[in-house]
Amino acid sequence: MLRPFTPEWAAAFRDAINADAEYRTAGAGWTWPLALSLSADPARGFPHDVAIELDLAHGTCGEVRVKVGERATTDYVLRGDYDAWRAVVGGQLDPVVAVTMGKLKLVQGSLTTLMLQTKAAKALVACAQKVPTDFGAS
Amino acid sequence: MPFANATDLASPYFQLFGKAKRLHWDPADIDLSADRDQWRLIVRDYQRERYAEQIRRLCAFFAAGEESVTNTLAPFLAAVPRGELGLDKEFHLAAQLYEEAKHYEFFARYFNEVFGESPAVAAAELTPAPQAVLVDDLNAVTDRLRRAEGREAVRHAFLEAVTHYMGAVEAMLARTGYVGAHDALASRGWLPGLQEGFRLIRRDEGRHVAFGIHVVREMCADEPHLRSLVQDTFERNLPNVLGTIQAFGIYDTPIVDLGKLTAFALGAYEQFMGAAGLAAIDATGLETELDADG
Ligand SMILES: [Fe+2]
Ligand SMILES: [Fe+2]
Repeated sequence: MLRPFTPEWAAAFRDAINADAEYRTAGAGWTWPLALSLSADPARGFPHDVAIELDLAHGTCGEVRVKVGERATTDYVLRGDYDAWRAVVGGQLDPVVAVTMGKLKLVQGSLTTLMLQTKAAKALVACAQKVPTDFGAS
Repeated sequence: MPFANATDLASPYFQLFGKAKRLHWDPADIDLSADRDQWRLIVRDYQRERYAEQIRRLCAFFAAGEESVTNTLAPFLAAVPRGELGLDKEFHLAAQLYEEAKHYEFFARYFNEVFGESPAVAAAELTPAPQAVLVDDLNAVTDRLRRAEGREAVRHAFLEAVTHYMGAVEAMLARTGYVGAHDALASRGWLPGLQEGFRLIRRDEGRHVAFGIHVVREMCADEPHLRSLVQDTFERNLPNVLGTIQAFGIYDTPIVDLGKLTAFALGAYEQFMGAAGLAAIDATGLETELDADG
């Protein structure tokens, strides 16, 4: 089991994306680097904000970068707190509903474009669900 | 040539007008007597689920929305000759204004005769997201249309206003809401008069949405540089549109299926973006569905 938002988790996430036939199709139209950004939560072991930057393009993922305490610089940045990411990655909360409810916030990028790519977003989250992740007890 | 399309009976706008005449209905004819009896039971028996509160809130959103769209449609009609947009659009818009007034009349009757209160209370029920997209921002965009001067400025303001009114408000919220609300009542066998009102209003809204899709497609095909107006209008409104649907997320047992409604609203959004040439989707799917609505 891997702790979320760590370099090991990010690498496993990238491998899961690149091994996923579903994402290759659903994400074919998504051509922008995307960061998943976690707000600092010292009680959960995250004293600083963490961002996982994924170089997504045409259904695959190139480089991944983990930025601790630094601003993400990707075209798209989705930001949420620990509970939001746990619910989305854990499959209890649909990623599109999470954005519409404001639990995940698009702090960088175009909402109109993101909302045309809901299939890609769901397939991406499905890849994260394939990584054995230890979110700890709620 | 402002009158060029006036007698083109094949024009989609003229056909929508024809349908509106054939599918006429009167809100005063809907029988609400069974609803009055059932309403008392729903209030009494579902306090934990807060179903009565949710149904009343849905109706308040619809009533305030219908009042607002009735108030803001006139500038579209007045813009047609100024922007040389084609008289056939005015035929449709005249029917639409009459229909929006009937929709508001239906809810006014429902508040008076079933809820036992004045429909004037509905406006106060709006939370910030629906207040913005249904009322304040709609007023602002139609006010810009009213003030626009010169053919080009009028056409741009018209497209922007159509995207807001027919796209964000009617396609994403009204028609989505009426489908969801009708299903919620039909699956429980509740409030037959309200169900009938939802069914008839939704049928009208299908034509209003079809008008919007035709306008967006026609104007963006003729002048592709106008596409950015459609995109920018949705960019501004999406957060409040989605926030309006999520206003029902505060209930533990929502009477409508929020996931389904969100997907339905985003499907309508995709169709508008497709009509503008901004998404790789063709809008004929929704048109077929709207045709089936009547
Ligand atoms: Fe209406
Ligand atoms: Fe309408």
